[in-house]
Amino acid sequence: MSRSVDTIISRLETVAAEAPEQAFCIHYSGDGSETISYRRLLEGARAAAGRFQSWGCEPGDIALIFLKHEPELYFSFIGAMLAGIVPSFMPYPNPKQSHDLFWRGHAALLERIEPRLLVVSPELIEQFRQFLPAYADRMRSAAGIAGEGGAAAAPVERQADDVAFLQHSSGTTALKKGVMLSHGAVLRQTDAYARAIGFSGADITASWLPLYHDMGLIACLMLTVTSGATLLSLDPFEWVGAPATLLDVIERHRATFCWLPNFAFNHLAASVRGGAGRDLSSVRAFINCSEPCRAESFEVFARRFAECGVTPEQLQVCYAMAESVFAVTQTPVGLSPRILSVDRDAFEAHGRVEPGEGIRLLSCGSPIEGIGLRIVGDDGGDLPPGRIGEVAIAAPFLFDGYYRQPSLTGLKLRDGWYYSGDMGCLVDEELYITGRKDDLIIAYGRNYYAHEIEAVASGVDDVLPGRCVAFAVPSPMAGTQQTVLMAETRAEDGAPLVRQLREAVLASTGLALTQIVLRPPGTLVKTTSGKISREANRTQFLNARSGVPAQ
Amino acid sequence: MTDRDDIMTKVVAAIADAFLVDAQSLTAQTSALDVPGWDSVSQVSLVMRLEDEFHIQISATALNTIPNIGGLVDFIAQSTGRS
Repeated sequence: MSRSVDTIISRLETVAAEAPEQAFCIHYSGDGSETISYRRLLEGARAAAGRFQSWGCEPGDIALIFLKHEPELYFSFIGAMLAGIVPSFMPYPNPKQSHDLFWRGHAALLERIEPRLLVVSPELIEQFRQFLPAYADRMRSAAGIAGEGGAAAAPVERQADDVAFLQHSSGTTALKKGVMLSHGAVLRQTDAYARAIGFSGADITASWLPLYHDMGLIACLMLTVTSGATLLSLDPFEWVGAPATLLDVIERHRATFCWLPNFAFNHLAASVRGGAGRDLSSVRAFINCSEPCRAESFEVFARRFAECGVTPEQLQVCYAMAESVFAVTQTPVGLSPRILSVDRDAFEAHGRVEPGEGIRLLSCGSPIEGIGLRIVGDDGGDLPPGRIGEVAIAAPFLFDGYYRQPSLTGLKLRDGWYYSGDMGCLVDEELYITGRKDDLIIAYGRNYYAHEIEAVASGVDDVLPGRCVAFAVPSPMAGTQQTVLMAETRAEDGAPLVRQLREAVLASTGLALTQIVLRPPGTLVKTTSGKISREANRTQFLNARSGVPAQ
Repeated sequence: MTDRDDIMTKVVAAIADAFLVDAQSLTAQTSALDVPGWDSVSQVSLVMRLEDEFHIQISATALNTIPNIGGLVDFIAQSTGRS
C-alpha cells in the first residue's frame, strides 16, 4: 500500500501512531459515556473493513449506514473507507415515522443508488427486512462490526481523488442527492478551514449534530479526525429534549468549538434552566451555520448565558454547503461578526444593500483560503459590491457531482463554478446571505423544497390534486423558518386530513409542518398563468395572521 | 372534579397555549401529529411548563413513548401519585 498518498485514512493512521491514547471521541448516550481513543478507532475500523470484505464488498461499492447514536457509527464509516468502499450516513426512522411512505421513499432511493450493503442498527434490522424485502440479503447488523474475531482487512490502495464518501442532502427521501466528495477535496477543505478558525489537535468539539448532516459530518467528525482532535458526541434526539446536556459536556471537558444551526441558539436560550455557575468560557467559538443566521438569535443567547462567561466575541458565523465539502466563508474567530443596518426599500425593491433602517444583516465573513466567490446577476454577469445576486463558488475542494444525477450536476456545476441558489451580496469583502433563488425552505438547519412537499401533499386523499402550496414563514422566537401548507379540499371534517398531511410529509421528508390551512376548492390565489402562487398565498397568509384585511 | 380530570384540564390548557390551538379541539385521543406546530423542539417548552406545574420531571425518552394526550395525563397521574 502506498504511504505517500494523503487521504483521510492516512491522516488517521498518523494520529493513531503518534498519539494512540489521545481521545478521538467521548461518546455520550443515555446516562453513560464511552471514550474511544485513536488507537481503538483505527483497530475498530480495521475490524469493520475486514467484515465489509468478508461480506463481498469491493472498492467503489456503496454502503449506506442506518445507525442510531452508537459508536459503530464511526467504526463502520471509517472502516468502509479503509476497504475502499464509499459509505454514506443516512437518517434512520424515528418512532413517529412508521409510515408506508417512509419505506416507499427509501425503496425508490435504493433503486437509484443500488447500494452494495446496508449497515443497520441491531434493533432496527427486523423492521428494515420487513419493509425493504428486496434488499434483505444486503442488510447487515452493525452488532459486533468492530469487534475481534473477524478476518483481517486486506490492504486497499487509495488515491487522493477517489470518492471517499457520499453526503446525502435532506428533503424528500426518494429525491435525496448524494454529493460525491473525494479524499483530496475533504482534506483540502478541512486543512483550509482549520487554518481559518485556528483549529488543531488540541481542540475539543462539542456536538449533538447528526452525522448525516454536513455540519455534523465535516465540521465535527472529519475536522476532528483529520486534525487529531477530540469530539464530544451527544445523541441528537436526546439533545433536543434535554438541550442543557450540551452545555454540561462543554463545561466538563472544557470544549473549545461548537457548531450549531441558528435555531439551536434560541432553543438553548429558551429551554435551559438555571445556568448560574456553569462555565462556558473555554469555548473559542460557537459557530452558527446551515440556516439563515440572525443577529437577534446571537443577542438572545449572549444575554441568557452572559453569566456563564459567554461573550459576543465567541459567537461566529460560517456559510457552508456540502458541495464545497463544508465552509465557504467564516467570520474571524475572536471578533464579533459585523451587522449591517440596511434600508428596507432599497433591499426589497431594488436588490441593493444600502445603509439605512429596516433590515439587519449578519455577516457570514470572508471567503476561506482557496475560495473564489462571485455574485451573479440575472444576465449571468458579475454584480458589484452591495448588489444582491446568486452566490457562485469555485474552490479546490468542490464536489465531484451528484451520484448518478449527471443532468442535475451539469445544471449546478458549470465551468468550475458551483451555482448555489443562495442570494447574497458582498460588502467590504464580507458575504451577506439574503435569501434563496428557488423554493428551498431551510427549517431547523435542514433543507426542504416546497415543490417536493407539495407533491407529497397532493398525493394525500381528499386534497384536490395539484391544489396545494407550501411556503416558509419566519419565526423569530424559534430562530428558524416554519413551514405552512395550504391545501384545497372538499372534505367537511378537516381534522383527519390535517393528521394525514402531517404524517405524509413527516414520513416522506422528515419535516413536521407547523401550520396546515384547509380551503374550499378554487380559493387558493393563482398567478396570471393559472398556477397556484406561492408568494401570493404566503402574503395572504401573513396578512391574515397579522390582521390585515384581504384586498 | 377527579384528580385525573384536573390534570387533563391543565394539560389541555398548556398544549393550547404552547401551540396556539383551540382547547376545545383537544381530546384524550389527540396526538402530537394532530397538532400542527408540535414538534420535538417546540415540545420542550410544553414539557417545562408541565414540569413546573406538576413538580415532576419528564424525560424525552418517556415522552416519546406516550401516544397521545390521554397517555400524557396517565403519565403525570402516575408520577404525581394521583392515579
